[in-house]
Amino acid sequence: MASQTELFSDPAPRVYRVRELNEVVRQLLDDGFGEVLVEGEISNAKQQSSGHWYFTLKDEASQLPAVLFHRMQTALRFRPENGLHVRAAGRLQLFVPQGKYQLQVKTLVPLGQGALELAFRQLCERLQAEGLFDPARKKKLPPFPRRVALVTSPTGAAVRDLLATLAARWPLAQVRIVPILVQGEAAPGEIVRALRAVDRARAADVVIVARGGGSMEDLWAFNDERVARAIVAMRVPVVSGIGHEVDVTIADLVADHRAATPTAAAAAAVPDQREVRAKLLHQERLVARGLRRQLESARSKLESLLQRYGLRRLRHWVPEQLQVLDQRLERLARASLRGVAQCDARARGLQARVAALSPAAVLARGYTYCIDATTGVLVARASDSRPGGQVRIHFNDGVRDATFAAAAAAPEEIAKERT
Amino acid sequence: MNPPAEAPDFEASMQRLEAIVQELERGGVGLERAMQLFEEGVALGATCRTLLDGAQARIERLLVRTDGAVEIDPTEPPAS
Repeated sequence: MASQTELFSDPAPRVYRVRELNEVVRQLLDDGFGEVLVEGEISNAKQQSSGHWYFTLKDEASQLPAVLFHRMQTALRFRPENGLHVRAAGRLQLFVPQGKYQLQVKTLVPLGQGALELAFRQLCERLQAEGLFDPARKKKLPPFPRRVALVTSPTGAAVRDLLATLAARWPLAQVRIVPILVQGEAAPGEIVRALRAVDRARAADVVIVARGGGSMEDLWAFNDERVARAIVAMRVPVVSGIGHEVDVTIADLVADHRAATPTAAAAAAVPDQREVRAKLLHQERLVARGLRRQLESARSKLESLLQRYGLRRLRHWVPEQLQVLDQRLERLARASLRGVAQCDARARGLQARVAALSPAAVLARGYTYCIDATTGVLVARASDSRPGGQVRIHFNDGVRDATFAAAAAAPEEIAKERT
Repeated sequence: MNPPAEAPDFEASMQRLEAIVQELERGGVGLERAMQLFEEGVALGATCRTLLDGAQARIERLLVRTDGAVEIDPTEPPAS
């Protein structure tokens, strides 16, 4: 007892309870420092399921435990990952039950680089590691979209450029503007909601996410992880057109097609009617050419058949085929069409040539031919006739049987005509 | 939320036209078939061109409701 009074002068020394002492020190830390700034390297960073980040700030010689509560993170764009050099601002706080103190971080600033650049790089790396930038993952854009949704601000240069380009290139598309805020705290949430809603309702065949130029801060909503993941989750293909040529956002990197500007995005999303019209004309020419080839091959087949078999077996077939051909050519002539006039002319020429081959045309002029009734062979020359031979004479309007007289004169004219 | 069906569909017409060209280009289809294909191709080409000639950009606004559904903004009549 005596030694104690010697050690501590009046008033009588206070004996603290442990908890009491910790409370006092907690107060001292808080009052004595207020808000402190401290620089160090992050290590042992861990995010709890609550969303709070715990890490240690360290230098070569010492360590300081730190916590970044979830509610403080809204202004923080990057993640407090290990190895980052940061300047932290916050209050020193003693954790009373354990007598340990930590820095309760209010703001965290990366050293040697901007917070946005850092956040961008971090998200890039993470999404890339997940394969979300992989071209193989990306969806193909529809060649002829009927409905194009524009997830963009309803006012401003971007939407004007989009509408003008879409109208000029592909007026067939129905354009649906889904108005969103393109910057500010609320923007990412709105963009996500708009994308999901369009996708869920299948309200478009292709979606353009667009914004005019601006600073990195202005474009920040398009570097938001929620926006990136919403784009990835889309079933409807997404074209991005954000900022100017030099701007690349995360939304660009995950979009199915990245265009440099809103105008370029509109051009990527729809075909150009001039090209389509040119292709249409080309296809029509190919169709006409295809038919012409068929006509030519039919004609040459006909010619070769006529040569190989003579008229014997073609008596019925030839006029029938020619009639079919004539009808078709008639219809072809009626099918007036730009670009196939040439084909039409060729077809008519062909029709005339085929008609010239037709024995029916010859018969129509009053000629006849006769077929040996027993052999079925054309009696083309007087010398082919046998006295008393049975023949069938073919007229334009029918067939008559006949018998050669014993010593009749051969009908020279007809024989000449047939050969 | 589906638009009024646009018949005939441009994309389907273009695809059919391409198929017709391919069939004709392969050859050996026969005259009768070639005529059918030709007539169909001519009709498809005319249809597509008519669609393009008559097209007028239609613009409407979609609103995202709180339940996440979308509806056409009735206060913004479709413009062109």
